[in-house]
Amino acid sequence: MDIFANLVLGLETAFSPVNLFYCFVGVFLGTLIGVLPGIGPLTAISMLLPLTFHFGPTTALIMLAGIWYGTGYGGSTAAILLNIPGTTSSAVTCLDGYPMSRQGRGGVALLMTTVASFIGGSISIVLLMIFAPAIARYALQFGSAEYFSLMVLGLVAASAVTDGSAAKGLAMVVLGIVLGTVGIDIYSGQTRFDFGFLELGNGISLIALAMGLFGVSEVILSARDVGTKALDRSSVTLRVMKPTREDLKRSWLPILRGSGIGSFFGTLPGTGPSIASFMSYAVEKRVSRDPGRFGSGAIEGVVAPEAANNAADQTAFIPTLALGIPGSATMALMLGALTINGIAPGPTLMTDQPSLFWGLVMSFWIGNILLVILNIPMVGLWVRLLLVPYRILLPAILMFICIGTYSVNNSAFDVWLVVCFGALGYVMRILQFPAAPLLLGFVLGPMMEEHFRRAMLLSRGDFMTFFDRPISAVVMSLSLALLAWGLFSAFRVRRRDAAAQSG
Amino acid sequence: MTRDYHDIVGGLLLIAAGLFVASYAYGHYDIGSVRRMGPGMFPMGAGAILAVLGVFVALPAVFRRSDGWRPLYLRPAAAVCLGVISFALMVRPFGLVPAILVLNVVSSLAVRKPRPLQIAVTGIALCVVAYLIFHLALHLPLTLFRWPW
Repeated sequence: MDIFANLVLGLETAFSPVNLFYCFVGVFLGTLIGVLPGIGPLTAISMLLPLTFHFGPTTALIMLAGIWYGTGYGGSTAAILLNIPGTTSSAVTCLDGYPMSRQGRGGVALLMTTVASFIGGSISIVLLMIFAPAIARYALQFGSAEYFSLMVLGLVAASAVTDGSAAKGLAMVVLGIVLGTVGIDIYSGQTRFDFGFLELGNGISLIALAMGLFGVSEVILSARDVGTKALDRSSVTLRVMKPTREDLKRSWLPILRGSGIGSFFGTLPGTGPSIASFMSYAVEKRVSRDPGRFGSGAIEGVVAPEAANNAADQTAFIPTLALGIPGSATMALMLGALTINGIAPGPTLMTDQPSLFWGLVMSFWIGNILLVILNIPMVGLWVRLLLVPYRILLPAILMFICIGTYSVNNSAFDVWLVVCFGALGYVMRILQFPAAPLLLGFVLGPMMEEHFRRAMLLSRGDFMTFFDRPISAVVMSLSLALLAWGLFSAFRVRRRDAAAQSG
Repeated sequence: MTRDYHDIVGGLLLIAAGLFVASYAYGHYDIGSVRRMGPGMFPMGAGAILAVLGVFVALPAVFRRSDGWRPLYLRPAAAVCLGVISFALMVRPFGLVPAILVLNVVSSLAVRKPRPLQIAVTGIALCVVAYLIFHLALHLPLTLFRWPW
């Protein structure tokens, strides 16, 4: 099938009334959740994952993806107007966005971020359409050794690159893999680690794990700041949104650079939108003729990171859809939504399920256009939402978590699991262990075990099989280099801290 | 000077978990050979790696200084967990509406100085929202009320 036929198929799928409606629901909820501090995209997607059972895979993915990139738009609203990053990827936007709104230019900042996000999203959708099918075609020749190596790379990158210590991140990945082994072993039929609970025969429910780890622990830690913040309403009327010619002239190059940086970092495992937005802010500051303006309301410092994080949101789907290997915890949940609906992810996804892939890609365009409409005229509504006190939100979020988990299997056992993982997530937060690598390890663990055992079977127990095959060897060496770098830089930071403390 | 007790505790927990998983897998499941692995091999290896990483987390922390313990937020933690537990206990015998009401009351205690009137209004609103979304819109087979006796 040529690209034109694919596009038509995608548009047909995306424009079907059901998908259009849920695309709208997704971006609407995404904006809502992005605006509200205390619930990130991961929490939101895990809260809505149970509902996707009732929709079918294409609709489910369209809605979840809408939430994912919708939070990017919503997060910037909270960041610019109240200096609260609704999501981590919009933390950078606070730096120059909030000063702009203190100067009465909040409306301009909001409009320009929406435009920047739209352009960033559009560029990365085109890249996604070009590269994903090409990579998938190439990946058809991959064997178990290559898949295992790629998953190792993804996990090492996700844990070693993120902030904090590499050992902690890696430990969480391995803990996730261990949790993933619970349930029936597909080779021998032996039930592992069920401790007498029949409910654990099919493994730990991904939904219960994600809800507990992200939802419940997030609610606990947000409960302490229940106050609301003051807000200047006059800076968000439509009239003051009009950017000056100077703003436009300053913005267009940073938007393009931000889109490029974001598209690149989105595809890499472990980086994602947060790192992309930090990188593009740093780049803008570096190339600027007048770096002193940054931090006191420079429009370049707002539009570049916003273009970058939205571009990264879309290109993150490239490894997920083309290889079936998610690069981040959110993408792992997307993959979970596919497997829950009985679709095996991998390079054959695009040829087996063309309407799913192209429908999803086309829905990105629609979603981005809907977001522009939702964000510009309705900004007043979102602003009012920011003022809802947490004492009302807290029981509401918990109710959605409880009913969502319970309704999947009508099982109170899954709700108990939510409590267990909520407690685990809370302890991890207190001890500063990252939760996202755990989820990634949990989703990839069973696939890794399968490919590892198959590769060992084929190579008659020879570990060198991962280094004899060229692609696998390159990927494995890359992982080892990253691992060494991660451990080394952690060591160096510690040395420097020790030196600073004694000096 | 206080040691970095967070990482020491975290590392020790990881070591304990890793050793437990590895020994449990070794004791209960067939290990097999590298060429033809049994169900115990992969979990045993993962458990062993987990324990080693625990050492990597805990050992450097012994020689590191820190500012002491971070706040624990015990009140919200207890209220939120008990709220979800009460939902798990209530939803089968009593049905959805009583479970939501109890969850609302218990979890609202997470916030300092709870306001009774506001909790009551929130509870009613949540039941209406749950009815509209989960029962009317999504047609989930959830029992709203049930009498166990």
